[in-house]
Amino acid sequence: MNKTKTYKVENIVKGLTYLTAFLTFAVSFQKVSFFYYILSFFIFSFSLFLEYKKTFVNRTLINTLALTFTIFRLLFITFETLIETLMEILLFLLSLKFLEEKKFRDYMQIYLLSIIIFAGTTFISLEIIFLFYLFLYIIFLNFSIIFLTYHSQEKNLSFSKETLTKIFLKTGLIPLLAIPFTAFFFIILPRTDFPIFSFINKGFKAKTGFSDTVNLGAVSSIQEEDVVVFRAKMKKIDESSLYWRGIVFEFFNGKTWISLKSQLTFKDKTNFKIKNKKTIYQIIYLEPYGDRYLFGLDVPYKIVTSPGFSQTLIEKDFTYFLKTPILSRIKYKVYSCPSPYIPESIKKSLYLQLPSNISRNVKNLAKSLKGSTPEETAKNILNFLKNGDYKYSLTNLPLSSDPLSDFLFKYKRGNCEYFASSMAILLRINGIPARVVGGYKGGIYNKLGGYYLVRQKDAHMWVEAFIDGKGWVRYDPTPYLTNINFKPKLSKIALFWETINYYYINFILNYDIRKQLILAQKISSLVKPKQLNWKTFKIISYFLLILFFIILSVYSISCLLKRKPLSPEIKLINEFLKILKTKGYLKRKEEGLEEFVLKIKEPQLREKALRFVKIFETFFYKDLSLSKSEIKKLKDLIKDIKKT
Amino acid sequence: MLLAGVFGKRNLKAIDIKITFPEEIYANRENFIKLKIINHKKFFPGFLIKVSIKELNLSHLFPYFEKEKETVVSIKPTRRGHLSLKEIYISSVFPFNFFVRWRKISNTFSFLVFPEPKKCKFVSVTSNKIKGDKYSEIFGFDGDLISIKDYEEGTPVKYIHWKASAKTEKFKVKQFSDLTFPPLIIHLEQIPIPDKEEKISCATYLIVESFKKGIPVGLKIGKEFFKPSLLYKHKINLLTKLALYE
Repeated sequence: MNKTKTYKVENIVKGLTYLTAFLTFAVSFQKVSFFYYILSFFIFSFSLFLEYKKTFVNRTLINTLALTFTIFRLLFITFETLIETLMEILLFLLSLKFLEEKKFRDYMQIYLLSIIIFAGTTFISLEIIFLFYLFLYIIFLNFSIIFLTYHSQEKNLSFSKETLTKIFLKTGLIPLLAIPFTAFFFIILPRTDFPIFSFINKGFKAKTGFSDTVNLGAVSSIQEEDVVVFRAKMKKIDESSLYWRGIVFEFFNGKTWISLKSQLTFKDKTNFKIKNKKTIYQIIYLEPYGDRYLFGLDVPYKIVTSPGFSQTLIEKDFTYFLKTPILSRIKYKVYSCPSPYIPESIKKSLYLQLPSNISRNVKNLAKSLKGSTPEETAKNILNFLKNGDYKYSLTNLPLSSDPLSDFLFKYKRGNCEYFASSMAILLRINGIPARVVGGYKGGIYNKLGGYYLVRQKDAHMWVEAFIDGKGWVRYDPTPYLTNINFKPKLSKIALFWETINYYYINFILNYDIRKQLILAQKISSLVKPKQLNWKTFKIISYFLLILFFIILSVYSISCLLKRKPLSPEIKLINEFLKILKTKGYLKRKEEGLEEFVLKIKEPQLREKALRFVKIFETFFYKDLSLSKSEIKKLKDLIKDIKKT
Repeated sequence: MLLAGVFGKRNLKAIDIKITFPEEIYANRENFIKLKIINHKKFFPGFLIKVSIKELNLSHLFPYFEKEKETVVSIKPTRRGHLSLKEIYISSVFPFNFFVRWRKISNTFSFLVFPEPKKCKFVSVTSNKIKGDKYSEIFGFDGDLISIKDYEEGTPVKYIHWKASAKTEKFKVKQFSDLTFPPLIIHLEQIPIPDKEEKISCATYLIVESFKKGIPVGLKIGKEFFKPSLLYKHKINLLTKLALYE
């Protein structure tokens, strides 16, 4: 006999599966809440012990637990914690799966769960280490499935170390080939909502786009970015009115514009609407662009989010924003008035603030542009910037400590930020309240879909000056829109794809799932109390615990019922043997009934027992069932035996 | 998926099957054949290949092999006569058990199945009905006591003649004659069993048993007559005749 050590394929499958799951745990570390992570990991570790002991948890118990947990977690699901909650559920299910005795199907379920978790972690965040995990994971998963395939073909297969090494080496080619393939497809296939590889994109150069703060003089050149920010479904309007309002900045420190969130002002918007009867209605599909502002056609007086949207919308100066950045596509409705000015009463000092280090040159320039009325002054400044020597540029921007002065007198080139900032400051020096508004300008109208496509490169800033008697009037001092023959266009193919993309987003990808989630949320809100405190949490937990035990007991009862009821014959003989046991005669398994009875020493008892056995045997061993009268006779005999 | 397909396809490529049959294969008896799988690919071993032979209702799994692998499998053909194995398939779920890939092997293998030997009730080779057992002059262990001779090393203890040993004070052993039988001639058509197959099975049994016991057997089948002989070739000849008997 050849005595080389062999390894059972079943054990190899087990080992590899545990490794795969371990990697899944590793990759989801800190991606889900600590409590559920530890809970799942504990169950997973415990399963190793069970595996060692070769005892497994009943399948029904596991399924019941899984169901209860899933219901419990889904009750507290919101859009914002959607992926995290789903990951918690999946991780828990994965750990539970390990507790049971694993067949082919179970292994495949484990792999499927782990793949989904792996994919899910990329939605939450992505570090470079993930690629390393992914590499290992693909290799382990590949071997797991290959050996599982072996196991499925023959249960008791085992290999020598030599053969195993060969199989590992030769089949290792599959993942090694698969990884470059995957990378290739990763590049050519469309991405998800969330900017997965954003860490790669973080280069040195700034990009065009909307930003929360505006820094002048910090970067020397800006890249134009074609990334879609939002699509606005609406009728086509005059291009000159396409200002998409996003944020208002009031405070300037010489370099940076800041939007003061503490200065929330509440306006009488109904009044504003009545004065401007014309309303433009838009449906906006906003991409997860990384910030928290919602855009609308200037001037948006009302924004309505979809019913499933749970975050509160904060309003300020006809801009709207959330507390946290938008991480998945959202849809909302906007009601706008294409008004030339916003009538309102303001606290002027807020909009007359000037940076302390403002240069004399700038002040002199401002004075020279002063007209007889504020409106004239504004027009002079606009003319000076827009039709003067200044050029729109995204490169060679002034890198300096006093960017405004350098822009106005030295470089004379800049992007909209420089133009808008200059105008606002020149206005303020002249005592005219002014603020800078950030958002987008223009967009490509897609006739097929009936919407405007707005991209990051359309990001823009303009100025609002407060003219007494009118209110806030919009001025756009940036020259590029008029000087350059700028007509945004998409090629026909690009337009076609863009339209398909739009419908894809609109109908398939996002909003159906969202609708279902809304439905689920509505249902859960019936059960879920508005405010979740410890008490309600306890009630829900009790409820689930009770539900769990009900399911469990129903199952156990059904198991009991499934067991065949004992026949009267068996009952009789059991009773008979029980009584004899009390009298000190225990029947051994291998003993025949008669043989056993004949051992009884007391002659009276022996005689009675023998009589019972004789009657019993004539029926039982001929497979005849006892009639009622015979049962009675035997029962009487048992009673008699009991007495003796 | 694509890679799984490529690997799966490559796995079944350039695979050959060879089957070696023993001299005697009987119907409804367990017979052992040698199944050899050969891989002509240079760097790609065979993974998890299942060989299925439809005619024999047989399938065997080769988990892993490099160039070739041979195994012995048992077969149990159901009827006598020529049997050709035309439908031999190799299949594999390698690598991921997503789908079963299969290929038919173009080789065909033919072999002859001898009839099933069945003990017949009416007659037995060793029964007394075959009269005229004859003891030969050759020494053996089965016949009558011929003489007593001195003990030779290696003679089994049971042949020691204790009485004679005691008398002579020297170990004496019994010597027997060998048993031989008169030749047996089977007249197939005259075996008193109505069913043809049973008749053939009976004749096969007689032939096989006779050869085991060293009885020369002859066969009369139709108009043909085969003289009794103890040659192996003769045995195969007789069994072939029976296997192909119409």
